[in-house]
Amino acid sequence: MNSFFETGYTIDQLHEAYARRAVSVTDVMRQFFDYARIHDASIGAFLELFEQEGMARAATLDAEQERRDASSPLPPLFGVPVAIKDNMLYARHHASAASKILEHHISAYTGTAVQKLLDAGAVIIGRTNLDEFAMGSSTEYSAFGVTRNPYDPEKVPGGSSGGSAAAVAGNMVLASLGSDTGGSIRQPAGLCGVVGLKPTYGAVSRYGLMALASSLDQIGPLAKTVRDAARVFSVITGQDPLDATSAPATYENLFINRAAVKKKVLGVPREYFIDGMDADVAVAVRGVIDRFVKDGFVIKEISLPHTQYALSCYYIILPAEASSNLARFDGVRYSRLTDVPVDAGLLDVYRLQKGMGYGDEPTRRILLGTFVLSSGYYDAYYAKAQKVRRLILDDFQKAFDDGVDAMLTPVTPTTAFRIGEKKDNPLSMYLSDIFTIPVNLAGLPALSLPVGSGFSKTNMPINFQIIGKHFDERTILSLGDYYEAHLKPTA
Amino acid sequence: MILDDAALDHLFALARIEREDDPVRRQKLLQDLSAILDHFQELRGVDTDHIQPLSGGTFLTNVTRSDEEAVRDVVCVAEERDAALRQFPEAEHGYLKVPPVFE
Repeated sequence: MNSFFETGYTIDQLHEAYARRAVSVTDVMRQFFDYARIHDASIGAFLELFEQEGMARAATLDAEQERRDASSPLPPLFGVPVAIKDNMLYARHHASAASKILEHHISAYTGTAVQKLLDAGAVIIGRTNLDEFAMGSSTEYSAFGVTRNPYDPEKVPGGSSGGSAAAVAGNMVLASLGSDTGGSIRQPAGLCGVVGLKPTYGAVSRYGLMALASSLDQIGPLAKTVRDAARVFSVITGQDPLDATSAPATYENLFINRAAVKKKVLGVPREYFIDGMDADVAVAVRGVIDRFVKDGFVIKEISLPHTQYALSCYYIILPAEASSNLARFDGVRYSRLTDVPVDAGLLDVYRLQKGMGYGDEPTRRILLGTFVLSSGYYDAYYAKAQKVRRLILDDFQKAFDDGVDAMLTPVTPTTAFRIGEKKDNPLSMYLSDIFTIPVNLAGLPALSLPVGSGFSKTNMPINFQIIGKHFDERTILSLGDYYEAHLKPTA
Repeated sequence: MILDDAALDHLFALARIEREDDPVRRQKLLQDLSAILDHFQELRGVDTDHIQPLSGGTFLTNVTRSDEEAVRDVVCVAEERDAALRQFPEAEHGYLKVPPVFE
């Protein structure tokens, strides 16, 4: 069974083994925990492994399987080892957002997406590292240590869902949940060479996700294949009365047939191939487009003229929303740091808790958000950014109205960078999300998936991105699955 | 530089964060924030006359419900309430205890 870990098997393959009763959940989980405990020592994907309860749950699932009629189907994630990003609530478990300010915080309830994983039979094997409060693109801004890229330990896994991406890439789980506010699922998926889906805004309930920027945040899956990501997405999607922004969309079947896939018109926005991006990345993504062309797809070059303003727009809107959302971690409700004097007055509790509890990046963004929302600057920054956000959405809408069904773009301008390379230069860190941010501003779904053998000269993974219409995850997943099955080079 | 020293202190006060006193870290923070704010100047060149602001990512309209708990029979299950209470540094008789607001 060790070959499972070397080849990186999929949920489909594991379920096939369960259906044949070739393995028990206990066998599988024992191996995953043993593997994760050893291998994560050098990766740092996990903040905590839930080994004892995971093994207990495996035994419960085995008993369930024992009673199941051989002809009845397995629950969709039965016995599947998954990980959750540590900004998602799971009752009676720590949830720290990788921040010192929540180091001692324990979830009072379980969020909807996590509950759906459990209801579908998944075994949650641990909580994964992230940039503090999901603010970052490298997982270096975690208060609890760096996560290393499984392809090269000197490099970052991307972020903010870097632990979730590294856990999948390092074969320590078959799937994980991340959250994507400006690229935090797709960019680490890209730097670690796994599949990541950012669903349409509203497709997955945000109940129990610690809010970063409420108009942008979306939970989504990371997995080894498009089919596995689709399977996890189909489990976690759905309207939730506990999240008023969750949408009533339903997805009957996430894959369309091959003939329908081949009729899709693919747009290539010229603004996504820019000066300063790695030549390796541009060549690899151009190679993907060529393969679609040679296979008979209709490709249209398009223009999304406001793309260049997305970064500024995002870094006004996000800090504005984040500065409001993070106000609640005041030392009064969600645990208090022991360094705050017991006799401190209320204002001092706030100031000391936040001063000692937040790392550099949350502090920067809270101050930035406070600035852009403050009297005298609101119209010039926040109101202006909201108008530019409309123009960015209109660009996408116009392209879709002109007959484009989905778009092909790079995910990141570079491959994984070295640990420490961008940490002290926030603006250069922000630039690694320039191809993912516009999608969040427009609320669209997008898939990040490996190019294939198009690894860079430095042997690091390269992904590309497929952007779809609102609630049209079917098209991008079908295109991704088609690419994986028929076009992906396997050198 | 858009931000000066006094403005930085004002932001710390508004955000209820203890001010940074280390001169080196303070200077770095001012530089970083100023560089980011400088970058935003590019938005000035975008014509947004007659453009409606967009506050969310979808075309959905507000979903509201009547002011009652429609989801469960009770407002909050006792177990969740107690778990939330346990996160409070101080609680008394099931209430959150806060330091005095008025002296």
